[in-house]
Amino acid sequence: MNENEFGQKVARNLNWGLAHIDDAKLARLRVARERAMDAYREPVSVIGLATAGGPVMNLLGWVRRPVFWLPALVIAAAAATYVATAPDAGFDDVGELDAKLLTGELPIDAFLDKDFAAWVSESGQ
Amino acid sequence: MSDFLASVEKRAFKQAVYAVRQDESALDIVQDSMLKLAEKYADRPAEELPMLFQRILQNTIRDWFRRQKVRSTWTSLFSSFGGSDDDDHDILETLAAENTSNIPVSPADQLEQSQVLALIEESIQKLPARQREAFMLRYWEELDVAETAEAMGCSQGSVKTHCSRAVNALSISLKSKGITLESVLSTHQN
Repeated sequence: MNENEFGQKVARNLNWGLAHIDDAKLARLRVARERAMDAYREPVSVIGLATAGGPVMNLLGWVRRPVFWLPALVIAAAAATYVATAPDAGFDDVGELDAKLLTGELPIDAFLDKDFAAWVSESGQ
Repeated sequence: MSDFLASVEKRAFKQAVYAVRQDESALDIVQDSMLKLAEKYADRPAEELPMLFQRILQNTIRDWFRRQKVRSTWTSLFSSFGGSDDDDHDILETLAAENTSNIPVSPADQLEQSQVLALIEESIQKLPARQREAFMLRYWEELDVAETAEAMGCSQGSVKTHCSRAVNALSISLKSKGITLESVLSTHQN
């Protein structure tokens, strides 16, 4: 007799014993199952997306999970930090503009010369 | 899900009883396991439920033993009568001495079957926890070796070893009680 046969014979005996669990315990097991089923139905009954022929996607259930909102929270915090510390590219101080003009290779007089503007437009064509 | 839970609840209860040897605790363990399965794995395909439920059940049983160990540690710390403090303390051996077997009362014409079943259950209860776990998952829950390994969180080789040792230990234990497999079969095949 091998291991499988032995195991199956013992299992048959144990199955026979299942029919002799008393009613009070069976009632407790039924209550336990019903509580579990309440917990099972609860997420399905709230706002959800029904997919064609597929299972119901429970959006609210997902939103409640830390795996969803924790990364979102980290991204939001990182974005807020960047906005608070990053230099404002759209704003230059007047002093900075002056410094750029003064250090540039093109003299400021070139911008005042009308012939220079005409030459630029001609060379662009 | 409801059908699945109904199909496994009795065996789950008995498995928990064999492990913790207290009916009330076993019922709590089954209830916790059902709740965890329903709450966390409601979206899983039906074919995965047996393995997932068994994994949850075995983990819940282990959690119960951990809590008992913590409780007994605090009890022994504060007890002025402090009994022997054994490093190799085995909670199963302690519980074995309590004789809390809960074999249901059977009709008179089923007395012999009940007695045989009680002896089998007693032998199963005395198995080391991992051997009992592997044996019950393989032969009672009919999981294959891979599923049993996943439910137990160990390798397939370990499952085979545990099962082999469990069968050997059960065989010796039953023989010592005068029960042969043939007599067990003839008793219950009727």
